[in-house]
Order: sequence, then structure tokens, then C-alpha cells
Amino acid sequence: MEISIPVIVVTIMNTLVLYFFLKKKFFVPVTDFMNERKNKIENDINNAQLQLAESEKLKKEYKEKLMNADDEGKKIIHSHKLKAEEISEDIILKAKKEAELIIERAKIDSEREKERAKDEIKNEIINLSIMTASKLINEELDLNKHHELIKDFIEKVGV
Amino acid sequence: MAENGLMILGINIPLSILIQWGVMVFIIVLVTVLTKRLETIPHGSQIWIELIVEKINDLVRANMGEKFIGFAPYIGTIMIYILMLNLIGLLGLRPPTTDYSVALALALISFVLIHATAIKNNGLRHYLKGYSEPFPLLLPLNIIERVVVPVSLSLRLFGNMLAGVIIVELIYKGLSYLSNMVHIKLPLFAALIPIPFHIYFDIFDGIIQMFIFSMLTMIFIKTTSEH
Repeated sequence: MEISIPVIVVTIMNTLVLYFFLKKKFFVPVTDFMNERKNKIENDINNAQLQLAESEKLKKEYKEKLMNADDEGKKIIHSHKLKAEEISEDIILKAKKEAELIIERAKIDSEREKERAKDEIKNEIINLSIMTASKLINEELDLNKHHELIKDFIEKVGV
Repeated sequence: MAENGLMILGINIPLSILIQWGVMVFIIVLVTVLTKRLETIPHGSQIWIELIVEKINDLVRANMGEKFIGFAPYIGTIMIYILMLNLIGLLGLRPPTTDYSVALALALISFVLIHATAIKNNGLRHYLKGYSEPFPLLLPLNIIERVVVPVSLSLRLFGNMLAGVIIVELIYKGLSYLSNMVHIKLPLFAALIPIPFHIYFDIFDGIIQMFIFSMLTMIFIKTTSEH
């Protein structure tokens, strides 16, 4: 088996041609392609994770806000209820007072009326008694003179 | 081998060269068709292309480190090329690697690459100083060690492939002799019995020799440039 220089040279050339071809058309493009895809996937995953974390945060925030709003609403309703109760109690109290006042006044009025009626009756009685007495004794009683006397008498009797 | 070649335009082209050209055309056409468009989501043949490139890149990275990843295309090329040249025996052709000139040419490229990388990475002075280490008395031994690398690389590839071809050929001869002995006109024995030998000597040995050749190239490039 002799060594043939032309075969060696041609084989080296073949290998080099194949090397340059495969490097340019096979290894470099495919490796670059795979690296690019790897980077893209890594980026996508990272972005997705970031976004997920952010949305998780927002969700928590909104939940908190919602809960706060709920609480606040309850508080508002409660305070308004209290105020309303106060007002109604106030109103009732005022009404009661007014009613009492009216009753009181009515009582006083009636008392006064009674007093006046009593006085009138007394006066009537006095007049009547004077009239009867003057008829009886045929003598004009001096109204002014005896008025005091009769009134005194009537009071003692307790009309 | 020249007598097995083809006369084209008055030049005798040896069979080992013709087969190389055939293999080259096959590889170039195949690669051109398969890598015409790469899709982000790989389908069918693209999965295999990516697998091959990925495995070669990983192999180079594992054996030589990230620093020498630029050698991946060369290592990949000789792996694919030598594998094809070795497996061509399955088509009944004689593997070109059984021509010592071809094996030597492949080893010479690796040899040049090994020393070019060493000089490039260390500078010529440091590279030459490496021949007289650990002490100057070892200079001749170091030179022999360096020079013998392409010889051992090529002889290993050539010897193994040639031995395989010779053994398989002997088996065919023996089987046809047996067929003649039992007076059967058809080469009955030659139909099935050589299959395991083809599997061993062509496929297994072809793959193993390709691996050994590329592994040793990787290791020599790394160790010589880092000594």
C-alpha cells in the first residue's frame, strides 16, 4: 500500500470543502437558531413569571380594597343607623314633651275654668242669697255692705 | 488503489476519491434540503438535525470545554464525514478509509490543527519551549511524541477499517467455497451468515473508529494547547 500524494491532497481539499460547507450551512445556523430559540423561551418564561407576580400583587391589592370598601360601607350604614335612631328618639322625646306641655296647659286651663265657674257660682249664690234675704226681710241689703259677709259665710260652709 | 479508479479526461481518479465525492454530494444535498427552513417548533427531520448538532456541541463542550467550542463544526464535520466513509461498506463499496492515503490526509488535518491551535494559544516561543520540557534531554522523545500522533491516528483508522473489510471478504470467500462444496449453484450461505459480521465490522467498528478519531483529535487539541 503506497502513499499517494494526490489522494492525500484531494482528500484534504474534500474535507476542507465539506468543513466550510457544513460550518456555514449546518452547524452555525442550527446552533444559532437553537440558541435564539432558547433565549426567546427563557425571556418568555421570565416575562410570564414577572407578569404573573404582578397580577398576583394586583389581585391581592384589589381584594384588600374590596374588603376595605365592604367594611367602609358597613361602617357608613351603621353610623347612619345610629344617627337615625338618635333622631327618632329625639323626635319622640320632643313629641312627648310637647304632648305633656299641651296636657299641662289643658289641665291649667280647665283648672282656671273650674275656678272661674266656681267664682261665678259663688257670685250667683251671693246674689241669689242677697235677693232672697232682701225679699225675706224686705229690706234692701246693701250689696256692697253685705257682700263680704256672705262670701265669708259661703266659704265657711265650703261650697 | 489506483487501478480500481475511473479514467476521466485522461486522469486516473482512484475509487477512494470517487466515493468521497459521492459522499460529499450526498451530505451537501441532504443538509441543503433538511436545513432549508428551520421552524421554531421543530417537526420531523428538524428534530434529528437539532439532536445531531446539539450532541456534537455537547460532546465538544464536555471534552474540550467552553473555550474550544469553536471547534465543534470541525469535529462535527470529521465525525459525519468519517462515519459516512466507514458506513459506505454497507453498500458493498470499499470504504475510502481503507486507503491509507485518505486516513493519513484526515489525520494530517487534525495534526495541523492541533499544532496551529497550540501555537496560536501559547505563542511560538512557548510552544517551542514545550518540546524541551520537563528537561531538555527529552527533546527527541517529545518530537517523536508529537510527530507520531498523525501516524497513530491514521494507522488506527486505516488498520481497523481494512481489517474489517478483509475479514468480511474472507468470510464471503469461505462461504462461497462452502456453497461450492455442497454443490449449490446459489451462494446460499452468503445470504444470511455475513449479516452479523457486517453489523460488527461495518456499523459497530465504523462508528467506534469515527468516535476514537474525533475524540483523540479533541483531546490532542486541548492537551497540546494547554500543556
